[in-house]
Amino acid sequence: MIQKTIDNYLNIKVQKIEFDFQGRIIFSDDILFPTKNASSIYDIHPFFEIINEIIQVKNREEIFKIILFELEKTTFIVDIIVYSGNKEINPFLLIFDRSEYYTEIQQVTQDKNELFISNFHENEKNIKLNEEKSFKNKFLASISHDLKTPIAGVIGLLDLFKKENLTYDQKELLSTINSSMIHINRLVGDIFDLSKIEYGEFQIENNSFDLEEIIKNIERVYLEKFILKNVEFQVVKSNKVPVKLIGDYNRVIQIITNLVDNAYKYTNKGKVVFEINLDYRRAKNVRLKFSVKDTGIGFDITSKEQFESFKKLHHQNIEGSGLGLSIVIKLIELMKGTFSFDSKINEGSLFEITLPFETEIESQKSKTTIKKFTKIDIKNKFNVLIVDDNEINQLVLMKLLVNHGGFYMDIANNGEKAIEMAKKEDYDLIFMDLHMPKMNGFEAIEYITSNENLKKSKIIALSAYDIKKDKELAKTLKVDDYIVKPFVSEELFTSIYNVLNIKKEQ
Amino acid sequence: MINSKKIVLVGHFGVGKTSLIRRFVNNIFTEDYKVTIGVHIFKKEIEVNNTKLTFVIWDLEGKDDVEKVRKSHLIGTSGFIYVFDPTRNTTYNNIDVEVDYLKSNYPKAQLLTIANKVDLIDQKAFRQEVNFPIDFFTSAKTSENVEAIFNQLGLNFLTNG
Repeated sequence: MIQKTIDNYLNIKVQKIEFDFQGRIIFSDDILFPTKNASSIYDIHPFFEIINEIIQVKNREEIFKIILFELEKTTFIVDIIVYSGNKEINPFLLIFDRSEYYTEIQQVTQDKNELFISNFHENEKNIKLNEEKSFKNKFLASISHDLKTPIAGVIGLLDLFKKENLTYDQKELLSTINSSMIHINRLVGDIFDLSKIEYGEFQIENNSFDLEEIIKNIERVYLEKFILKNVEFQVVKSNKVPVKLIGDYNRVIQIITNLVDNAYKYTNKGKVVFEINLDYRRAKNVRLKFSVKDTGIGFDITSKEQFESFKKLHHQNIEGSGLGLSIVIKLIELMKGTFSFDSKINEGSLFEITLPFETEIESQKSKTTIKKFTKIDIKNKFNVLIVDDNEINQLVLMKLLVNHGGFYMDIANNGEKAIEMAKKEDYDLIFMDLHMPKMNGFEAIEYITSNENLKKSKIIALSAYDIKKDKELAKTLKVDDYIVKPFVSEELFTSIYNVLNIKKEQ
Repeated sequence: MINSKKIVLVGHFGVGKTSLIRRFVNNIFTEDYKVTIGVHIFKKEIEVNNTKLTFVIWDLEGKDDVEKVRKSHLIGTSGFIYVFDPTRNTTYNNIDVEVDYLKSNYPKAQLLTIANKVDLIDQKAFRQEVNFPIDFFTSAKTSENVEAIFNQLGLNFLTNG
């Protein structure tokens, strides 16, 4: 039985053909195909023409595998052994029919090759798309950074202007310009964030912060706006929600502000409810649920492209770039949170997000609690060097310091000039912009902090980039503080008091 | 007496070797890709400069390395057609080495390098992109230059004996 099974399995039909050195057929068992009509081996199939080459050398044996034989009536896939013969033995051929086996192989190879080729083209397409996307994101990041610097300058100047003696009308005009600039600044910031997220350079930070403070700020900013629009605005926070959290403070503000702002834009009557609840708590880990429900104009939830960048929920004339929700979703993803929504046209929308945090022990003091800013009179004047290539930025900083009083000032346009000046003059404090032509801030800081005669100067690094890489690099270079432009005067002086150790009793 | 010339098409799988032959021998083209396993052999007579030539064309299974082709399949080859697909760089990244191998191991054989599927690319841009010689840009789909390859080989045979 076993032998019979083996014989059946190995039962391959083999045709034997014996021929002379001129190719004339001497014998064939015609197991696979007839040969009686062929005057020579070369007439059967063009494959056999190769035999003419092989029989030039005696006792040569060649094996040909997987030869497709298309004859008049049938097709075989065969292996062929050719023996070239010698003086005693005529040349012969053995043709093994392996059609069944090779047909199976053909299908497997077909699938494999098709998959390989389609994967290749898919991969190429993705590489090209990613290159284009990467170019776009780099371009956007660079252009939004370039825009940030002049915007920071204008906001700084406007801040200075507020302190001038202005008429009511002038104040109104200034307030409008200021809010437009803040809006532009936010849009540019959004583009910068989005391009960083898509470019893969965006980092989520972990600091301790007070959630209560964020909620109060949202209430303070939006309550008045909603009242003016005659829309009710409620903030409901569950008592179970811990307020001392560890997470990315700035991004939490960004997410919540975007959602509330969205509800504000699209709700013209009824109410908007902003709720904060505890989703779950395991030891130090908590997940909070933030929801914003409005009675606004709603949107079509079946539209798939609604949260793509630059797609607004509505095409009504409502200001915004359409970036807000797209950034919110990407930020939530980066923070390992969840996002869901529901909406009915003309009835309203509900946005729900959950975000994970760690909690701080309640008794611990929050590190980022903002103290009330109090201006301090400086008795002894400080010698300050402002290093920035942008004239508006120089002017803003100068004006702020002059208005405050207590500072002598010098200005340098780049790192090289700053070092040259620092060698001649002892500065208590150097404001160093990080991105400048000739010698940038990083190189200048490195030089100053490693030079015995210069390193006693305190350094506050200034940058339009709010990116971890810059901050970390500045930290490594041992700068005393790091301020992101645009900054408000309170931020600047809080940093100066801290770095120069200026206290009230001075 | 055998007067035919053996021509072997080599190159990676999926570059269109079979399609070129089918276009040349039967004047047929199909979009479907049907993998070749082993060897298919075709015969066609052409006339070059009033001389009749018979080509026995061996269509080999695609290999990413010409050294992997069975040596027995290359016995008696008079001309090689090295086919690549300009839309898949993996099919020509190593073409210099492949061509050198064929030239040094089969010094008497004629060799043409063919960029097939030219209907899918910008020929001029591609020439600027790569720095190896290409004898013909062909398309089995539109039949562009398909006969020209075999005519060129015929001419080469007549010139070089």
